[in-house]
Amino acid sequence: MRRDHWKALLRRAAVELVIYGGLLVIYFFLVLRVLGEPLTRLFHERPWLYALVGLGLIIAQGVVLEQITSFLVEQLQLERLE
Amino acid sequence: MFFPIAGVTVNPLYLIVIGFVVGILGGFFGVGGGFLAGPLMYLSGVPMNFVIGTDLAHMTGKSIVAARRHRTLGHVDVKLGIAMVLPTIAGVEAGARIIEALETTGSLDVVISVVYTVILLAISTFTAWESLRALRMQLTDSLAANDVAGFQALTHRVYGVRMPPMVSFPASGIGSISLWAVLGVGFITGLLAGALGVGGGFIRMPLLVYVLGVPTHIAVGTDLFSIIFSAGFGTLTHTVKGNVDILMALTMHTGAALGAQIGAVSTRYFAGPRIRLLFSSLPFIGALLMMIRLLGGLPVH
Repeated sequence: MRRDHWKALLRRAAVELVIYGGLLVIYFFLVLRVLGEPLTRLFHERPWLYALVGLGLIIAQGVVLEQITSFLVEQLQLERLE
Repeated sequence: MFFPIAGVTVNPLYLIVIGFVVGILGGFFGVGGGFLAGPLMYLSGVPMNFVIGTDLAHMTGKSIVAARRHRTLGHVDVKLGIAMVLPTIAGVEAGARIIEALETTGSLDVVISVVYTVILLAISTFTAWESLRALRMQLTDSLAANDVAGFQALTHRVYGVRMPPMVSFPASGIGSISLWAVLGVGFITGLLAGALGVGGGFIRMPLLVYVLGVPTHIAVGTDLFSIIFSAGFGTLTHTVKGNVDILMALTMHTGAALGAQIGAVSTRYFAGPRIRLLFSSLPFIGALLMMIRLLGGLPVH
């Protein structure tokens, strides 16, 4: 792998790390705190509903996180580094 | 942070870092990373049943991120991935039933662990040998191709089987192949995954390359695409059984999502044989961890 490719890769990784760091802080304070209690109740009372909601949350988080970072990377014009 | 579902206190940063590391491995090699995430989660105090289920749940989310990224790079054969979903699930069920039937023998855990270790070492040795051979061929024959295979005998034999129905997978460069070969790869992956209790990523990726002749980059992306369905199915069944702490999985997934993107993008800078050579170290690490478990360092699941 060429040196400029390494540089591009590391720059992209660093920017994504910063973006994600910010997102994670917001995420912990907002989402996990809010979801904690209702999910625990569902786990004990309605396992099937908990399973469906859990799978839905994981899929939704995967799609949303990918879209947010892709959007930010695009806005920062980092795609051209690939 | 206390995770009330699993009833355990774990530093969320530790979970994010685990997710990040296995995310990079997953995005780059097309594996779930359970062989590494499992023991690390267990060492942090997570109960074993939650380790397996929660790992599968975070694997589902991570595979979505990595597969989407690979798709934008043109590395996913959706048709091939979908064709392998049902046989993989059937294989997982068959593997689980074989285990249930064998459980009466008593020494099942040791037998499975030894078989698992032998399979992992065989995959590791063969992939390392083949990729080194391919790299030498690239060098001596001055081949410009991005992906050269050092061992194609098996692929040629599979292509020689003309059992109908014949199908094509243009995205993988496969003109005509018996559907049974594709179903067989899916089923064998599922069978081993179900019997050995692993995700199956580092079984399917080499099978796609050496049996179906899929280029390495597309094998990685397609493998991740298939993992979405197999891990998703596993997540659903394990969640109903009470083995998934979804809050923990979501936390791990935040790190894994980033790692998976970095891993997926990184494949652009490596040729096929180099990816396979690096890949060969993963089954070796898996075998090493299993040997440590056998010696009593970690529980066998």
